Amino acid sequence: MTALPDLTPGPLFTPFCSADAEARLNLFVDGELDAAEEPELFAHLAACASCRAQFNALLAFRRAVRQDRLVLPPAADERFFAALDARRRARLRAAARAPLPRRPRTPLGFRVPLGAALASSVLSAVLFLTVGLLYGDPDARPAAAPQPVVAETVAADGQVLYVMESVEVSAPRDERPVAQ
Amino acid sequence: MPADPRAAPAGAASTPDHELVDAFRAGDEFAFVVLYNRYKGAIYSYCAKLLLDREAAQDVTQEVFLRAYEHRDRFLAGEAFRAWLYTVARNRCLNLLRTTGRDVPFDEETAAPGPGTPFSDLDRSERVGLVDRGLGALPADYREVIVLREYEDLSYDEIAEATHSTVSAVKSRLFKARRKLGALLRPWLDPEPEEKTAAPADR
Repeated sequence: MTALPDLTPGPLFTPFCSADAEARLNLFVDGELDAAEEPELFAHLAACASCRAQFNALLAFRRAVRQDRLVLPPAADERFFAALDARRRARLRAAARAPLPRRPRTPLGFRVPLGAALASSVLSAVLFLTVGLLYGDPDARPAAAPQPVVAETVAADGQVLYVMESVEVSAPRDERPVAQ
Repeated sequence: MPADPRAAPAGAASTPDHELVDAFRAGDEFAFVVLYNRYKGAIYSYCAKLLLDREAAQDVTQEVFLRAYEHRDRFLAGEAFRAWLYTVARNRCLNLLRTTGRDVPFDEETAAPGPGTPFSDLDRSERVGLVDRGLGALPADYREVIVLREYEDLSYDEIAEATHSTVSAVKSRLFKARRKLGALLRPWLDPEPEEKTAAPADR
């Protein structure tokens, strides 16, 4: 650094010489100053000791920051994936443990006098869902915990059909609801 | 996709965030791992410099990514994954700062190494320690813009987005934060250099 005629007294903090200069210097340091304004800025820095001191201070701070490279330790990664795993397992356990909801001693839901058409469409829907769940592509749903889906109908003959992701159909599959 | 579940898919490094997020939403766990590896460092360093506490920063980082994992369906279509991470991390950190409320004033007298030692003479840990003390003396909203600009290398626009603010407010806060930090660290950042013709006698 060339010695410059500098009459600034002591180490007393001297702020920028003006708000404009301060703004321009900050913008420059952040790469946000219009290139056209750079020559003026540099000329000013050459002439103004206080702004130059600020500029050097900013650069020194930035160099210090660059040397402070924080890295997440591998142990933290392991902890994270262990926590993730624990959550996944808890969800799967909860889903598997979920009791058959609303298994009625007295049937809940609605009693529908099933016409033959409705009965067969219900049955085909049940079979479709059953087949779909049994033979669906297991790769389509890795790891994500399934949300239990329950559909129930109380057929006129009292049969109760459940369809869940775990595919528990309480009625034997070849049985048909009695047509009304 | 490779068979080894620990390995990220080939070309993962160049896959843009939104594609990874889409894949993750569709159930691709590998995509999540790539996103985690991509941003864990940034979130950790942001928290570490905002909280000035590495262990707390590790905890917050873990919370942020666990929440990202659980709330994959909540990412808004247009919102960048990275911006979402920073927002969650920021909220958590600011809450912690409010509750712990540890305000450590910067005492020049007791600061070691002694004032007047130029930065270049300090070793790395002394320098980092000094900067941390300076950061700790800033109010949270000043500290956060300095951290986002200097440590996270975010642009003014990105900082405005992360702090729910405007670019002009960011500039104002950042420039003032630098002024204050400069004042605190001045005895080390710019001690009387030899080349300067010092004013005689009085210090």
